[in-house]
Amino acid sequence: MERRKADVLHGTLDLMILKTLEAMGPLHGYSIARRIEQISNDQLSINQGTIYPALLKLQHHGWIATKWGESSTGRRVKFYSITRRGEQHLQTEEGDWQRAAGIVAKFFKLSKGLP
Amino acid sequence: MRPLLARVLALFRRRQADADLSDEIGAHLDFATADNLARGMSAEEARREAALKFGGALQTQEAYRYRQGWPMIEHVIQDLRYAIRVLAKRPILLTTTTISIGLGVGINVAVYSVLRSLLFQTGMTGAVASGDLFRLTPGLSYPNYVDVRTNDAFVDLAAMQASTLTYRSGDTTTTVGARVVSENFFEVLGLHALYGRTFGSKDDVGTIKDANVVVISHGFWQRLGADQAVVGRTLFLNGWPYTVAGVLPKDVYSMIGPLVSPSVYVPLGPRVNRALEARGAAQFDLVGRLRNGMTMQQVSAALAVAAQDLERRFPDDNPGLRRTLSIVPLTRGVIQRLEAPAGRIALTLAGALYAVVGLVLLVACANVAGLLLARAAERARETSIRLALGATRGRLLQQFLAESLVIATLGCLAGAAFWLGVTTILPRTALIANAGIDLIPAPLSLVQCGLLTIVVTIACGLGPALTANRSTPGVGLQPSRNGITLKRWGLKQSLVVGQVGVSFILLVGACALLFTMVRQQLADPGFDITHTISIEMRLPTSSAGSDFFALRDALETLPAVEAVSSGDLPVGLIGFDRVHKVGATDDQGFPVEVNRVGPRYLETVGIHVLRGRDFGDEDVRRASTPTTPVVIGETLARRYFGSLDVIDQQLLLPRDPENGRAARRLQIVGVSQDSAVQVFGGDRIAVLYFPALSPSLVVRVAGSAAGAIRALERTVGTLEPGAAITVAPMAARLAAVLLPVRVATIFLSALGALGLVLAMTGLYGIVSYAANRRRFEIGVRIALGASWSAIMRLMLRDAVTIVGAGSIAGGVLSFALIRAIWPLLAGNQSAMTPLALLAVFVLILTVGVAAALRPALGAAAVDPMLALRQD
Repeated sequence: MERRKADVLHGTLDLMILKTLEAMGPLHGYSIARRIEQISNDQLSINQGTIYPALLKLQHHGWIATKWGESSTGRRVKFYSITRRGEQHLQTEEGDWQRAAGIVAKFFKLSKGLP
Repeated sequence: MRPLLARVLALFRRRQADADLSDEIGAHLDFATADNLARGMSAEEARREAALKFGGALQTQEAYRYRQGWPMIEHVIQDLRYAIRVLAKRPILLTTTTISIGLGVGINVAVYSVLRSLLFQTGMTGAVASGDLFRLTPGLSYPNYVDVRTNDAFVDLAAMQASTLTYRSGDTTTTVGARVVSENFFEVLGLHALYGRTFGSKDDVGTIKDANVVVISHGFWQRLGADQAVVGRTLFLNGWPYTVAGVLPKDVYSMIGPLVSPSVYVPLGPRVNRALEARGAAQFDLVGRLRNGMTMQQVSAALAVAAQDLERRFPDDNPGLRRTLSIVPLTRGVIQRLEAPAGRIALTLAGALYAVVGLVLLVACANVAGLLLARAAERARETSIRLALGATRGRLLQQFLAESLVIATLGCLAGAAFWLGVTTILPRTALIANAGIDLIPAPLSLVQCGLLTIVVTIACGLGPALTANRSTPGVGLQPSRNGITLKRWGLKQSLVVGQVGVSFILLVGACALLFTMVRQQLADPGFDITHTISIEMRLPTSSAGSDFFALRDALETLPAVEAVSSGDLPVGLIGFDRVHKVGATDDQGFPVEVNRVGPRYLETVGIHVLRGRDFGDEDVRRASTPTTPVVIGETLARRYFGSLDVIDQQLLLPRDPENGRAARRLQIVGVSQDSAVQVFGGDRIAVLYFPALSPSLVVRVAGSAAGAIRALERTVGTLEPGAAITVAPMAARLAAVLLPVRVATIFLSALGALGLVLAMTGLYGIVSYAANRRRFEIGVRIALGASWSAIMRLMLRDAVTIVGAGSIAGGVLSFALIRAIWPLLAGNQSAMTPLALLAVFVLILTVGVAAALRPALGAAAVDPMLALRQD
């Protein structure tokens, strides 16, 4: 393996899915998995199957909605779309994430010898 | 909250969700394969790559399901379904356990419900918002009540008095429990009629004093035929016609206490109370409501002022009123209203009673636990297979507990059904209807039922479940040769020891009470109960009162009648009164039961006069002279004076604040033998005979008492029309007085017998189980030459050990119990205790050996050839 693939940080898969749906509109399961891989430049190592339990959890929270429909190839598939509640949730989570990431980033800037 | 709801909903559409997921995964793989093909892979490779990227489809489905449903709940449901299926195939086991637990829980629920109502229920249900209701203690006389009510703080103050009225319906006259209430009673309490209306309001003070209206209770209404048209009908109470104004709702009871309700509510007035003007007779209970924002403290202060005023104006009638009068909020249950020692005693007794029924439930649980334990042993192989297939210990435990949960639930349902049945049937029985009271059944506590179910589940199931869980897959699956290395003493044996112990305690208690009862039956009561008859008479207040002397003369003309006097049983029941020696200032006095009796009473009931004389007609007629002649029982003479020669000594009977009786100076004119009858045991209660006429008569007849009853009934009935008359042989009256001990004896005996039967089925189970398991060992022993008696000894040894250990434990604990019920045991208890212990021990040992005998005989009859050939 020439590139080290990152494991998905616990809990971040939900955010990736929500953000993907927010950005791209309704998608079916395979497209979501593909988009996440593409956006991360294939650097994330996830089993594509793991997104399905995650989707169910988001659905239980009412953050995404589902609807059966037909794909471009005429296959019967389930489309997922983000809800209003989901968007609100994503917004708060995004803010939290940025703040936390900022704090961690500051720590990484520390170097030896500084007071 | 939302995910929880979604999960619960998902429980109902699992199959559809599964199909949907497979569909989705299929689509996913198809898309991935198509993508891979487009990238130039071969069909085979494209499919492989897609599956690889997806990860395990099965794992995904599993994770999905886990998230979707509620695996724990699903497991529980699965276990319960399995438990029900398994138990349904064993109807005998299920019936036994349901009956065992049902009886235990039923008694528990009954005692708890009654105790809860008795002790903790507030003074009133059916009344609106009793938070601002209060009660005055002690009670007040009617003139005092009227004076207090003029104070602004007490406008909403109602008076009531428990009473008994005669009720004439057709030719028969009976008595009904009544409340004589002030006109504002219903308004103060906020009670509304179910049909018709209640009477009075605070606006018509005094105007309905003689109103002839009555409000009847729901129970009485039902006894009258439960017809709404009863409103407006006329009832004859105390000889007066009353118009029914309304019917109260079902759950109203007045402050006689919870569980009972008066049948009729009549307005206060001279028709139902002849001593209204007596200021010294504190005969009314008062209940009030806080008005426009006043606090209890303010009312209390106003009350102190009013009491002080009354005490100043009428010092003779109200001594110490300011000190004693106080208010108690009605939100507090009976137990909180009782004074310190009485409250503690009531709570202790209630606790003891509940402990006894708790013990019975524990015995029942132990019994069921024993059965389940045997089943767990039978199922060792099943448990091992489950473990070997990867079941977790927790899951196994859960499965066993599911089984005991099913058993506990069924048992608790049976118990609750038992109590509901009792409370439905009991108020309709003739006994209650004739007693002139309305019984309001104690409600079933669902919380208690739920808690009991949990307790029973754990008590029955935890032991067996843990035992079964201890098995290891390796051992359980091996062919069994464990007959030789059988563990002798385990949980099961300990359970039966406990059961025997508890039964022992219950039986010793029952036995001690039984001795008391037998003694009460056998003892010479000290007076003649075979030739005497008691006539209780309740006169309507409309009559001028019966003329005893005319009645006596009329009755004595009857051929069988030898003598007639006035009075009730010559028995010391409680001893509420206290007499003092004249001149002794630091004297505590002596508690006595004052029996009001007519001329020649002692002679009529057959009590020997040891010194002095019996009462004559003149003693009764001039009872208002400064000194009253009295006859005292020998107990009072010996204990208080230290001698029987006390003729012409004087005693003081202080004023009675309850009925306003003035203080009296007594002169002893006779000393009588005491009756040996004691209701509650303990110290014998001293009796004092006071010459006064009461509406009850005693009649002495020649020949048997039963034969004369009819004639007496007819004669008194014609002479006193309108009176409610009860004519009964003295023996029956005495039996009624002794009823508490008899009821206690029967109750405790029944519990003890129940406990014993349960313990013995447990013992039987153990011995037959051991006999079964040890067939191989017994076969070897017989083959090696063990005799029949040796095998019998071997098998019975276990039973005797268990019974012995249980009896010793029970015997030690019994001493504590006997101490607790000491006051209930009449006479020389100490001599009876060893006898009771011995009797119970012999009984339990006999029953124990009998229970073990059949399986032991079976073991001794084992054919060694067959036993040794067996696996």
